[in-house]
Amino acid sequence: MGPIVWALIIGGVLLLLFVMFLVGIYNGLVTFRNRYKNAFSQIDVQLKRRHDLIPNLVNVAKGYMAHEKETLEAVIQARNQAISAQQAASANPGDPSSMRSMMQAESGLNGALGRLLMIAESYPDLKANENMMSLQEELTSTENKVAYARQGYNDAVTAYNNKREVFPAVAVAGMLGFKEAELLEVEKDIEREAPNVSF
Amino acid sequence: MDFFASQDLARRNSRRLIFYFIAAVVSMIAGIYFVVMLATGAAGMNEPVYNEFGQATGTTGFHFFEPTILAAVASAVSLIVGSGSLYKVSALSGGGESVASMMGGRHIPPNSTEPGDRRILNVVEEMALAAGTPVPPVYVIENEPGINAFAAGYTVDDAVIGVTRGTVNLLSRDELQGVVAHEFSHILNGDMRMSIRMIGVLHGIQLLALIGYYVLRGVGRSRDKKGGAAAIVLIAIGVIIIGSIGMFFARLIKAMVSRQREYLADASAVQFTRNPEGIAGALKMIGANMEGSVMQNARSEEISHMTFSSMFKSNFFNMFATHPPLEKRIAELDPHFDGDYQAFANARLQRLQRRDEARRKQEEKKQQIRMGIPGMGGGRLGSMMGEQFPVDPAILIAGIGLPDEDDVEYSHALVDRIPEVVADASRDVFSARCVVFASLLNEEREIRRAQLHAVAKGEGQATIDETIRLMNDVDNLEARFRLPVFEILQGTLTGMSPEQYDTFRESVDRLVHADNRVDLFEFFMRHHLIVHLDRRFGRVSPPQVTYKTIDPLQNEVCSLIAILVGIGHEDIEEARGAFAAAIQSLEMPWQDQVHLIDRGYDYPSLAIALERLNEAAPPVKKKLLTSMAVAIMYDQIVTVEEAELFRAIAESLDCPVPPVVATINRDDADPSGVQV
Repeated sequence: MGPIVWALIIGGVLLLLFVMFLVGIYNGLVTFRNRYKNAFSQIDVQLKRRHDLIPNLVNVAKGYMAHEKETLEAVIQARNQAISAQQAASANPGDPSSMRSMMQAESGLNGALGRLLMIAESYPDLKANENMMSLQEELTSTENKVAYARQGYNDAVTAYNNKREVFPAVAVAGMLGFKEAELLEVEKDIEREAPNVSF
Repeated sequence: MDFFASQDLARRNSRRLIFYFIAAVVSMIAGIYFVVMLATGAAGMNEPVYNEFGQATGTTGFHFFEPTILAAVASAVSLIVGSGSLYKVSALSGGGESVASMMGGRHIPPNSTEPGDRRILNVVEEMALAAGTPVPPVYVIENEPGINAFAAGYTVDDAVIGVTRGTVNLLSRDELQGVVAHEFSHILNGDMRMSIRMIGVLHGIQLLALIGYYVLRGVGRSRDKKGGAAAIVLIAIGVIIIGSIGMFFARLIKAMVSRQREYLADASAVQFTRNPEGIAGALKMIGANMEGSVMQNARSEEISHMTFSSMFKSNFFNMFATHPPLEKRIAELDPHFDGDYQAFANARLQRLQRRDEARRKQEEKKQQIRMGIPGMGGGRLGSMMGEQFPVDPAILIAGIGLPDEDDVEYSHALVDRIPEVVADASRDVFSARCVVFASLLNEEREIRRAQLHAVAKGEGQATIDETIRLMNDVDNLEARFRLPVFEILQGTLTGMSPEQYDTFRESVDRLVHADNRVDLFEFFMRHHLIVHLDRRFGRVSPPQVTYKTIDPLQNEVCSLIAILVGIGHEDIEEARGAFAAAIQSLEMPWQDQVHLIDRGYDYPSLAIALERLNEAAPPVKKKLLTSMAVAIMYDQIVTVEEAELFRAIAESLDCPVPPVVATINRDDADPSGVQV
């Protein structure tokens, strides 16, 4: 066999290896993208739960603090905004703009809730209400779960972004339509101190 | 065929598959070598042969052996096919999760509240508890209106269940249960490992044909049409043809293996649910559904042999079909079906409503007369509740990997009765970790505090608070709920990220080190949980079969039996008798090992022993479990604790035992009637 034959055979094999290589990168990126999308669904479940709790909380509070209509309405409004932002985000997890608007809406809701709870401090009857206490506890626990789910999501996004930015994937990722995914930042990082064990 | 035989068969089948694969590669090498020889003209008459006087005495005849070319062809073909297969198998090494991700599946969190999601989650959870396996994660393939489902993974440990949106939306609960039971039978029969290998093999052979295709295109584009181009074209065409023939046989093998396993899975599904109408209804709905069981995903062909029903509308040749025809499968389940799918679908709605009504009435009636959890009467354990009774170990072993309707119904009731706080927490990733921590806490307050401080080194305040909140409920969990809760936890905890898993593992280790007095049951649970999650997160690979006979495992087997008889029998003489009986059932000359009973045990060596035992072939495991059952049942009394310990050990040996065993001789049997 002549040299041209060999050149062609080697060329063919190299071409094929290159195609296989591209397919490998593509498949890897798809898997990592699906992972962070799946991780987002855990946040989704918890946020839904949180949003479902808020009307109950407002209803209980209403009975005690009728004068604080504005505060209560602000909470409801913030909740509605958070719900629509969350729906947009869950349709498109990782997309920077919807992630950011979701974070914004959630922190808006946090702010409104915080004001409500602060005012509630000055209503001893409300503070002692059993419903109110259990709702508040459930809100806190849901928030913890959101935080944990967010951590898992961020891990998955980081893994995806790293995979995407490593050479040679970085050369083709954009071409194949793999955009950088957005992390969910924690608004205020509570300083880590040894947790308190008391029971 | 019992669980062990089926596992063994699947293992041998998958080895036979490798043999076929090698045979296919060898014949492809021969074929391509032949083509290359012809195309390059290397084949032909040999040089004349001369005798010592310099006269030509003839030629050596038709010459067809050229070692260098054969070596080149052989290495090229093996390289291509081998790398193609290895690449695919390694891409799927993540097990079920990677297959589900490849198909674009959306993971349904175990605590999802969407009604449709909830239903499929509940059905899968019940089926897993009935079979005694970890609850597999559920993936829904959105945008697929067809009715189809698949189970994927290497072992029970990394299995996932995938269903299309159409399946969730269109099927009734019974039908869904039939589909899920069918998929569970694939999991329990060990079909999945073979399935993934099959994907790899097909991919390798397909790659060869692809190469021929690319080379042909490359030549077509190249300017240089002289020289070897003609030969290359010939070789490329030859490679394509031979590759296609290879594909043909590979598909044929795949279809044959697959069809046989499908009938088996249908039959097992009926056994699991004892309700042929469920799975038959699902198949009929496929017939009635416009989309049938078609899956549109471009990668469908790769998993076509894993799915519930054929994913292509029609197969030109029946011999390629990965599934038996719908009509035939339905006829096996419901011989009277007339083939009118539309009429079935129309009548079905009314019937479903009627059935719901009837079921509700029946439930009310049951409620009044119920004496215990369903599954108590009938079934393989008979009505032996509350008495001391001899249980035949053989019957117990026969139930492994073969849950039946009683088990499913029992699990259904059981799930409802798990205290809500614990059940809810077990389905949430964050809280599920805390359930594990809480279950490993010592009874003594001070040790408990030290343990929590140990956990606090790696976890935040929220985790500690949640653990403390769950502590009492987990402490008070009845024995029969403990294993099911762990099975649910195992499924939920797969939702952690790898980083979160590392932290969790460290915390568990720290917590355990702060107290070495866990009881045996907890040890097995923790061991199984960690091994399961380690495999799931790719920290260790699934065990390979190394021991085909029980002889080399003398130490491990005898120690395990010694531990079992030690805790089950107060009286030392009785314990010795149980040990002797167990060893006798093994038919091994190991009676002199009886001194092991007095020796005690430590967890690290027990863990190593379990790892080794897990490398035994299925028939060896069957022997071991039988002798364990003999040991437990020697004194004719089986408590829930003993039974659950047996299940926990069997489960850590990857042998799922259905839970009905937990209902025998329930020491908490409440004659006043248990509300379900």
